[in-house]
Amino acid sequence: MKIDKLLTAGALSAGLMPLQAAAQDAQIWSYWGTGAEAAALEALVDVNNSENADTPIGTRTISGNSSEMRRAMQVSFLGGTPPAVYQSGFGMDLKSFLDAERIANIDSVIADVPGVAEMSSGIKRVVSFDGDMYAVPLNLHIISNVFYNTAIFDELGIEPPKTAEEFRAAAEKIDAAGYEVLGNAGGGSWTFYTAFPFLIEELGQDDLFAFTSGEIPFTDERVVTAFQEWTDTYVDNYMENWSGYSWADTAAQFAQGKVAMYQMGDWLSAYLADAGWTAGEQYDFFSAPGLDGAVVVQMDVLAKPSGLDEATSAVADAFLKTASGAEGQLAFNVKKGSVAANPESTDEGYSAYGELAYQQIQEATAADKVIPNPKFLFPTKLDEEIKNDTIAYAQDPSEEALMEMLEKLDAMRVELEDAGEFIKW
Amino acid sequence: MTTNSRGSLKREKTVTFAIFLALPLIFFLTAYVYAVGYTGWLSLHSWDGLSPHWDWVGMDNYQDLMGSSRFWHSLVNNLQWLVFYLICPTVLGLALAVLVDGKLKGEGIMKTLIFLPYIITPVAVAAVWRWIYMPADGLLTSALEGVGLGGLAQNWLGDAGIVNGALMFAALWSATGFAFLVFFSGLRSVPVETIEAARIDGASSWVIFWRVVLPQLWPSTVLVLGLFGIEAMRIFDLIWSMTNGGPARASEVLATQLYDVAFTTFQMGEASAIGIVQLLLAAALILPYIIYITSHVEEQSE
Repeated sequence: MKIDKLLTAGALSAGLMPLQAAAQDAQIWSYWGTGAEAAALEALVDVNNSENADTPIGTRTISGNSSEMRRAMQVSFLGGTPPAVYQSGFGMDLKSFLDAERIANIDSVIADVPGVAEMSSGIKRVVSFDGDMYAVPLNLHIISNVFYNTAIFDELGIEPPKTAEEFRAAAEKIDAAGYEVLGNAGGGSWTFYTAFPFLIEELGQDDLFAFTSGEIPFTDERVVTAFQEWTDTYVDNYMENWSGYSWADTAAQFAQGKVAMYQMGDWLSAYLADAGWTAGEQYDFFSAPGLDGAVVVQMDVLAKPSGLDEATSAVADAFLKTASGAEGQLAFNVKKGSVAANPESTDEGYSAYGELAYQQIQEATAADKVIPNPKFLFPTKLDEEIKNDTIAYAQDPSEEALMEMLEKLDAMRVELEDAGEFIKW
Repeated sequence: MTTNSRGSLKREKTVTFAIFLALPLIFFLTAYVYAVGYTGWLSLHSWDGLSPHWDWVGMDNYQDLMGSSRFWHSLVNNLQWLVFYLICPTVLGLALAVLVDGKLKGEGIMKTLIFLPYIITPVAVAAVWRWIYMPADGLLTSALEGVGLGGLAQNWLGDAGIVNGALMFAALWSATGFAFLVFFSGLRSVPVETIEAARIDGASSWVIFWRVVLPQLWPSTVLVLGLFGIEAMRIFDLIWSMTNGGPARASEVLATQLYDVAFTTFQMGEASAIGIVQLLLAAALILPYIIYITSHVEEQSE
């Protein structure tokens, strides 16, 4: 009898061991490797591992960005050892994993988590395919706020502008006083980001999605008007030699009081905090003209690879529930300096700027006006062309150059549309 | 020695040679032949780097490249880099070597100062020069303003018209040290007797340099030109670190385009096609050099 029991126990142990080993090794892979980002992930993992002590998760940093993550994931798939959860981009990036049959449908895992159903439809739209969610929206960074130097505005008696017309009037005063009007940076997609408010104003939220789905030509009258308005309001007022600066270089110019306004992601507030500036004192911000309560956000999402073993899958599911919940999101976003995507999360512990951004996103969520960064909704090839063409155009803008750019981009749109490269968001 | 022991010695030698050759051969086959073959095969497919399936497209990727203005722009930039490398750091390195060679006080310090930039990693070189080239507070602009030449200050890395020149100047600072070191070593191996003989014959310094010294520096020149030629075709790190190929792709070369196509837009097949074209171009430029160096220079050393 004893021998039978021993044999049974041995057989069970042998059967369970691989599962336990897999579960113990279960990790989230991210490129949040340093500073506030690493602290944010650690805080989220701490919440998870106290809530789910039986299914803890470990972390692994993939140095670099989404490209390096993609390569690491590719290798892990080839080796049959994908992580439990990984940091992903939304939109096209996520869809490419789905097309390759590499991510799992997590709709049933997180659908019942309080607050998920109340997330803004714009956010859910870019992590969902055929009505099911494939990733957890974790953090939101507003990229449509214009930061301004309060001392310059006070000196010149300028009120934060609400419309493009008011913006141009303010710009005229700032320029006459000898300050650089509007910061911008070369490289990246910073220049294209600054065109979003004008596209949103002209197209509206639904047609913006149609535009990123390839259904509206770049030569559409409203798109042309948006780019013309962008040129008159922003491009003509960019600081001198902006294309030679990185975003942080321009932030330094802003912090030195040389530049009056700067439309940038809200990570600028962290940079300014390091420079000793406080929101509402040395600087403040206003929503870019024409947005009418809408906010454009950059966000990170978490996804679960397909084909995981049972134990790792259980760890992933538990972690994704925590990561989509109010408590997990609060822990993460307080540290990272972003705002929780789950509207049930509070603003407890946020910085002065974070509280204001939280309020802005809450109001936009209530009005269903949270718009994910359109850059990530275009086919990547087209997005790269837009990025480079807008930089080239903004360095030497003219009506002819604008039409030439839009016609070139539209030719590519048609080509990619024919090739079935667009996603209907 | 008997026939048997001679045969045994021959076998031992053969085994020894085989063992010594096996490692580099295996390394060459796996790290080079296999990798190039794999890339060539991938260049005939469409693949997003993630999907388990590759789609066969034949020569489409190459046809797309040939019809792409972006590709030709990158290629022209590579050729500009080739001309730059073959002339600027080579001539400057030679000039500095001649200048320093036994004619300056503090030769050791000079040698160190000139060679030091070459041993700094390109990413660090890029960081230094990004700061130097900053439009408003950069060292170069500040220096120009300091001497009343502020009007000459430019948007060094942000202006498509001058960005390549600015990058090349940074490369010049870094690469000259290598040419200097090779030429300096070459100068030290020129027999003093030949120079003295020319001097006794009444030759001027210029004639001595042109007719006596320079011909004897030919092996050094071939080495410098060959390695700089290779560098021009594979340059990546300095450009990527300083401009990412921008502004608006103005400073893009084949290597940065390859990286961007592969890891930003995930068109692995097209990126592989760029890699193969780059390899063929480099081979066309470098093979004559390798053939030459393996024949003439070895003969000269004998």
